[in-house]
Amino acid sequence: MSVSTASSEAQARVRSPRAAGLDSSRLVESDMASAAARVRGAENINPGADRMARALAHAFELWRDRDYARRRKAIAAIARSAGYSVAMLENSIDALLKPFTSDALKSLAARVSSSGGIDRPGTVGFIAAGNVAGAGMHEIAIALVAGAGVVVKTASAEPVFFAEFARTLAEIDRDAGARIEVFHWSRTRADLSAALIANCERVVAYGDDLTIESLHHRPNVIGFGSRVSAAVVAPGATDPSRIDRVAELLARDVALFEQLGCLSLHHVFVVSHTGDAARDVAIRMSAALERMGKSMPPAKIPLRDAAEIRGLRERARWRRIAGEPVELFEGPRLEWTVVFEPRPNLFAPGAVREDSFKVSPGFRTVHVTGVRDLGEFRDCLAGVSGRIEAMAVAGDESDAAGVGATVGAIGIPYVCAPGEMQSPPLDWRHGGGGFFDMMVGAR
Amino acid sequence: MSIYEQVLTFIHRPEPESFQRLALDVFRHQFEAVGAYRRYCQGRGADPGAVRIVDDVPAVSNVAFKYAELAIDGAARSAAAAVFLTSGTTQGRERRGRHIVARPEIYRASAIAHLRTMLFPDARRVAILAMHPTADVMPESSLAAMVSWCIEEFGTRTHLAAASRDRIDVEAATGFLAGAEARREPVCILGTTAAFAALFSELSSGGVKLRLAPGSRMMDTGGAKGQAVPMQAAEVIEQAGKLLAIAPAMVVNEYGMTELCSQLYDATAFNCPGVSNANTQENTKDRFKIPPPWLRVTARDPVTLKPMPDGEIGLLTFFDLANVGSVSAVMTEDLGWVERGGVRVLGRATGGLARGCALAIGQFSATEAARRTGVSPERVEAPR
Repeated sequence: MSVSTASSEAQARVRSPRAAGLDSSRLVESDMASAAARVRGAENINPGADRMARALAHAFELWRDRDYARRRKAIAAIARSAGYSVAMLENSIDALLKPFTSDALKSLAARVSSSGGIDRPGTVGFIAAGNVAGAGMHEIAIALVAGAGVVVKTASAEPVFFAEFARTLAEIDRDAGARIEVFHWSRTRADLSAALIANCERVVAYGDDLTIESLHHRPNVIGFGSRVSAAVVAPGATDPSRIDRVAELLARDVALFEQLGCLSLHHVFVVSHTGDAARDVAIRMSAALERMGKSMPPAKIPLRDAAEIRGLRERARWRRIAGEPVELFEGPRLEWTVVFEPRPNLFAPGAVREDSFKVSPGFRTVHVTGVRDLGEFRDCLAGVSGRIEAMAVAGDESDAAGVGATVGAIGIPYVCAPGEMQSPPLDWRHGGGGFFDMMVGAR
Repeated sequence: MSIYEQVLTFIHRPEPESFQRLALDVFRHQFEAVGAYRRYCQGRGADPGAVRIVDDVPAVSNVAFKYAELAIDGAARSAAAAVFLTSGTTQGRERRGRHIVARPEIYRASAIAHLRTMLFPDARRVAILAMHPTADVMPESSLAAMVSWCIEEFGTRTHLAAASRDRIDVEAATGFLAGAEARREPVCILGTTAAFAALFSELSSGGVKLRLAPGSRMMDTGGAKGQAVPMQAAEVIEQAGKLLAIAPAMVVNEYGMTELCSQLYDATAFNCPGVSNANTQENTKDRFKIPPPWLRVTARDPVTLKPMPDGEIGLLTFFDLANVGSVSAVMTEDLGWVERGGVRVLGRATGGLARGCALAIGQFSATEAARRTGVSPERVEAPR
């Protein structure tokens, strides 16, 4: 497949400051109105769902290649600015882009075409997160295939990924590339954020950039609420022939994106009558995280996060000294932390359901807890109902029916195998599916 | 002289050059006499013989007081000991921290000596209004103990504790202050920042503005803790001026915690004239706090636990000689920095980065906590 050369006009549409010679201080509110008008298609030919899907498929194909220059440039810049290792980013971006295959995009386009009657927004603004490169890619791709023009405000901390991706798209198909413009400005420019919101029919906000809480009051803003992810390991997966592989894959789910995304694994529940299998999983995950520290070096942890991890470790350490059945496995210099408990504290004095699901501070810090059965597992999640975005499920055929029914009853948007948590399919009902339904149509 | 007497002597007559030696002696004593601390040190491979400087003494997290009896063996059963409990609000229903103070007279000496320097440098006795229960009403509260000691040491016969366990009697407090105003009698007001917020709210809503006599002062502690809408330090100072006519330099915030027998106070033109331009009367936002000479403060790198250079942010860590009967080296979960002997407290560490498509994890936790407790997620944790 050949790559067409981008016109200078198409390139100019990618208005990241470095690319287009703009800096955020020169942007004015009317630039948002102009951008929204351009991507809406007044001057552009709408390429249609099939052509957009083909262009995107080509772009993703290029981006899945670790030697692709734009990807290399983006990853190097993100690693430098965020303090992440290149190896961790390579693996994370690989996982993120994996589902964007030609077939998947074609299928999405077909679905869009077949649900032509729905009232879709003509422009969608995106306020991207800075800590997870590419977070929002699913929604951006869906919006483009569904015919919307897209205006992206990248995070100050990560202005590179979407800008480079948009350039790729423009190079492949000028009309497709004209449907997306990428800007970046600092969070102090509330005027520009307000203009984005005012000029796009819908705006999707990620992270706490601009404070989602305040944005939620705008009727056209869709914020993905606070969500994290978990895993359940059924007895079949703790068989000696499988447990190391399962632990390795779960450790990978912990390490990708430094555990900062809503698909990142925070708490692993291991179904185990005695708790021994759960401890085995914790030990093996510790070993895997230690190994991963070599192949995917950990990030430089920001001070506040490091302080939080330190606090979590000290709490576990002193609970252990006090005789509680908690074990702390820890890597050097806060590189990774596993807190193991053979049983959830559902029944401890003063315990409440919310306490049995632990949200980690991130940066490869994970809780592993044994549960007697799937009923107890369900009880552990009762307090965070509606806040679990993904669930990795490990087990064998004998576990499938029981685990499937339990997880299905909890209502989790994305259920997957260990190691796949960062690769949800294109029809992932992120945040409950409101955005997907709006753009593609309800099932 | 016993180690306790040596510490008491140091508090009464500080000799900074002997701090290091005394601190190491205190550490060795605690290693021998506090079983849980000894096990912790051994777990970290710390040998008292090999520890040469106070900064190498293993510090326990302040959460350790929730889980272990960190007092000299037998102290818990001693009739002379005092047992103070943390407020228990920080983690909802989580257990409360327990500080067993084997020798309360050392705690009293530490508290009084630094109060004298920081809140009563003019050496005058004044009427005292406590918006917190006294020790007879709330014996498990370290703040209540301090309030009682303060009244004994610095109060006139005119004093009132306008609070029970359950509530602040704002009406009684206002009446007390109005009486002092009428008599032109200076007042010292003590209480949590939350209590002051309640008082200010009552005065504001009633349109009441009192003109307390010059020399009036106040000490607030606890920061945002317990407040649905936290009142910031600058606002406390502003409201004190507006509603009580207390000058900014006479508004002194305390940083203390149940796990420590010593406290830090804002440096102001009243208690540290000329100590720092940053703490002039005009600057109410960025005040440094001053520890007593028997309390060493460092900011630690959370990764390495090594002290940060002056001016760099880390986890505030203390070596408090006055904790001689429990554990002196205590690492908090508060971030701050130390500069030229002053301490800036930034508050509880919560994750700095947003989590992908989610709110920041601190917000997640706060939201969860708010759902459970009904307390606003915006609140910032504070000591005590």
